[in-house]
Order: sequence, then structure tokens, then C-alpha cells
Amino acid sequence: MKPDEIVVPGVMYAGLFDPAAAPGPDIAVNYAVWNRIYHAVPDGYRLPDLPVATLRLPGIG
Amino acid sequence: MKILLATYWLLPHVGGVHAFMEQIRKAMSLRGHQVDLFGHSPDYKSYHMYSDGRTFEKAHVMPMIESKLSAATSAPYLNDPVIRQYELDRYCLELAVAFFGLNEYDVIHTQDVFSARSLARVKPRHTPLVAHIHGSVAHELRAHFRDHPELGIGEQSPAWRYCHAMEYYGASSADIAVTANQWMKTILTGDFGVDPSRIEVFPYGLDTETFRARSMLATPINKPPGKKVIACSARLTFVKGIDLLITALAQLKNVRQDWVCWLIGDGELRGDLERQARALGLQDDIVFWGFRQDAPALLAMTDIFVHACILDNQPISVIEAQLAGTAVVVSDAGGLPEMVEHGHTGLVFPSRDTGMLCAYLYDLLEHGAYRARLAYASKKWAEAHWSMDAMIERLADVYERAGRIAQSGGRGVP
Repeated sequence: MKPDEIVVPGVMYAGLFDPAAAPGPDIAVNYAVWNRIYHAVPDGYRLPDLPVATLRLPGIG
Repeated sequence: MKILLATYWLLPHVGGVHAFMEQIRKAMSLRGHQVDLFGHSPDYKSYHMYSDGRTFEKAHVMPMIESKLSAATSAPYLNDPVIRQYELDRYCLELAVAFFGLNEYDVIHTQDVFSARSLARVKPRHTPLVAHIHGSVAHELRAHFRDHPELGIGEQSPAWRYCHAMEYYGASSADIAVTANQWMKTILTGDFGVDPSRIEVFPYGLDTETFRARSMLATPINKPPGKKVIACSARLTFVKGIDLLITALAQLKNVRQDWVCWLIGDGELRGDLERQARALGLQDDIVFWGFRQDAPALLAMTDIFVHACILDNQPISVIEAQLAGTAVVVSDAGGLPEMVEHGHTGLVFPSRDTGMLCAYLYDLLEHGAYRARLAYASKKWAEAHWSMDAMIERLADVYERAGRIAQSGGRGVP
């Protein structure tokens, strides 16, 4: 692992990824990049984009 | 006002979306606004603020996204290779714009359904989002799937339904969506269930002064003596129907040879199209110029402009051809019939009907006075219809109304 790469705290992942839809393992990342993203996204933002990713189509099902 | 123009597609790019964004940047900058451009880098490895050079490497976030979405998930369609490719790329886009920061913008104006959906998810709630929908990604992708049966993607496939979902959610996520014609609005509402009250319709504009100036620039290319020039300016991709034009030209060559065809543009099909031209004995009759900065000057030497697409919205190339005073022949695909009145401002042939296209080309080569009359009427109509000032006025009005919608809580992201 490079010096600027650390495992981001789990709370940060929980704030960015839907735990049921994105259950894969955490990996080492650039903390500065992810921390900046974490504080920039609006409340409630989660990956994946579930309505699109589950192909939920209004009126079609 | 600070404006972000954003696209999922490449910047720079020879396609019409980038040209459109640059036109807005120029026009809005002249009005004292600051405009940034965001999009994919040409190598697809990063997203960048094209206007100031800031870059966000996908490698910063893609490994984590792939890891988190690799296991059993409640969104199993993400394991479909087509859906996975587009969605993971789009998630990178979301994290990239979040990294760059969106708080400073007074309005965000996206140029496709992917960026519209993504920006809606990461922008501040009070920032208005306007989404220009230049074409139907779903129809284009489905046409590609149909044309490549080896992909095994049919109407029941997840990827097929994904196209529908992306079109719906992209167009429904903005405070106001804008289309350039009724055809595109009808697709969004009729085929994909988008609420019609969310969609504004007004045509593109073109900076006619700049276009005229570029038309008069020197070019090393000369019109061959004794030949009429038939030109097509387009990306060399499947939907543009260049193969159909070449087929029609092969038929035309059987009856007359007083023409040369200039193909202005580049793209993934160039090799295939060059082979097709050689196979039909047209290697000396069709010139593949590739992408040209002097395209307006080449149009100024053109006698007949052809757009044989099987699907297109409101191509800038046709607008430019009309303003150049060229007789225009277009297919009846997409929004083209709203651009050309058959028999008055040009000729419209049934899409994929190469026999009819050949017949029209013959008529226009044979009857110079008729060709000149169509070209004159087309130019007059174009000068009145494709006003850049009018488009910018309407766009500024849309920005203002979208701002009021956003300030009152927005329309919500479905």
C-alpha cells in the first residue's frame, strides 16, 4: 500500500454505498479523494442508483 | 451567473454535442456569464473540467466501486455486462463532479440522459438542473443491439430494459428538460413515459456570423473541374447511414458520373465504409476527408448535401448545409422532416430507401435550376429559423424558470 492509501473508515463507506446493494469488501483507497467526495455529496446520496439499477420502470414494472 | 455544461460523452469531440456546448459557452460568456465544460476525457480514463484542465482519474474510485458491487447484491442487474459498463462509469462521473464541487454553480445544464441522472443525484438541492436531450440513447443502443445479433441482446434482456430506464430517469430527473423538436419530445413521452409538462421544445441555433466567416477561410481542397460535389458531413457511425449513401452512389454511378462525393467526418466505421466504397468501384468517386476544421469552406463548394441517417435528432450538419445555400436531401428519420419541407426547402426520402435517394440525386444533378431554387428557399428558411440569439434567449428563460423551480424545492428526483 502506498503512503497516501489507507483503508477508509467504514462509516464513510456506509455513507456512500447502500449496504444491501453494494455488499462487497472495502479496499485500500486514497483517503483524501474519498473524504472530499464524502463531504461533497448531498444527504441521502447512495451507490448504486437503485431505481435505475433495479430497472424499476413506472407503469411498466 | 456561473453555468456548468456537462456531458457523459467525450470532450473534445467532433460530434454535435461538443459544438453545441461551445456555442452556448461563447454566447453566455458574451453576456457576462462564466461557463465551465465537464465531460469524459478522450481516452475514457478520466473525467475532466475541459474548460480549465482539472482532471479526475477514474482509477481513484473505480476499484472501490467494482469491489463494492462485485458480490451478491440486491441490484443483480449490475452483473449484466452492458448495464455494469454504463452504470459503473456513471457512478464514477457522479463521484468526479462531487470531487470538483458543484456549490459554486448557479445552474447546471446537462447534454444527455446519463449526465442528467447523475448530476441530479449529486447536485445541491437548490441548484437548478436543465437537461438538453439531443437524441434517444435508448433507440440508438437498441438499433445497435438489433444490428449485432451476436450480442444476444433482445427485447426481454436486462440491457434492453436498462435503455428504457435510463431514458426515463435521465429525462425525468431535471427541473426542465429541453428537446429541439416535437419528434424527440414524442419519443420521451410516448415511448418512455416522461411527463410532458417537464419538457420544453425549441430548436437549436447557429452562430451564423462565425459560420459565414469560417466558410470564407482558405482551404487547400479544390472542387474538381466538371464535377458537382455531393457532400455528407457526419460522424462515421452506424446511425448516420453512410453505408446507405454509398449504396445509392453506386446506383447513381451506373447512370451518370458528373459528380464526386465528399465524406467529411471520422468514426468507427471508416474502415468498413472505405472497403464498401472500394468493393463497389467508387474509390475514385468518394473522398474520405476525415474530420476537417475547414468543413464550412467545403460546404461552400458543395452542390448537394445528403444526410441519409436512420436515426437523428436535429443535426447541426444539416443546419450548416442549409445556411451554406446547398440543396439538401435528407431521410425521413427522426426529426429531419421538421427541418426540411419536401419539394420546397429540400427533398426528403424514406429512410433506407437507397433507390429513392439515388433518384433524387439524379434529379438534382440533372436540373440545375430546380437545385438552385431548393437551395435558395432552404437558405432563406434557415436564416430565419436557426437563430442563435433566439435560442440563447429561450435558454436564459429556461435557466431562470428552472431556478425558480429549484428554489421552491425542485421537482424531485424519481
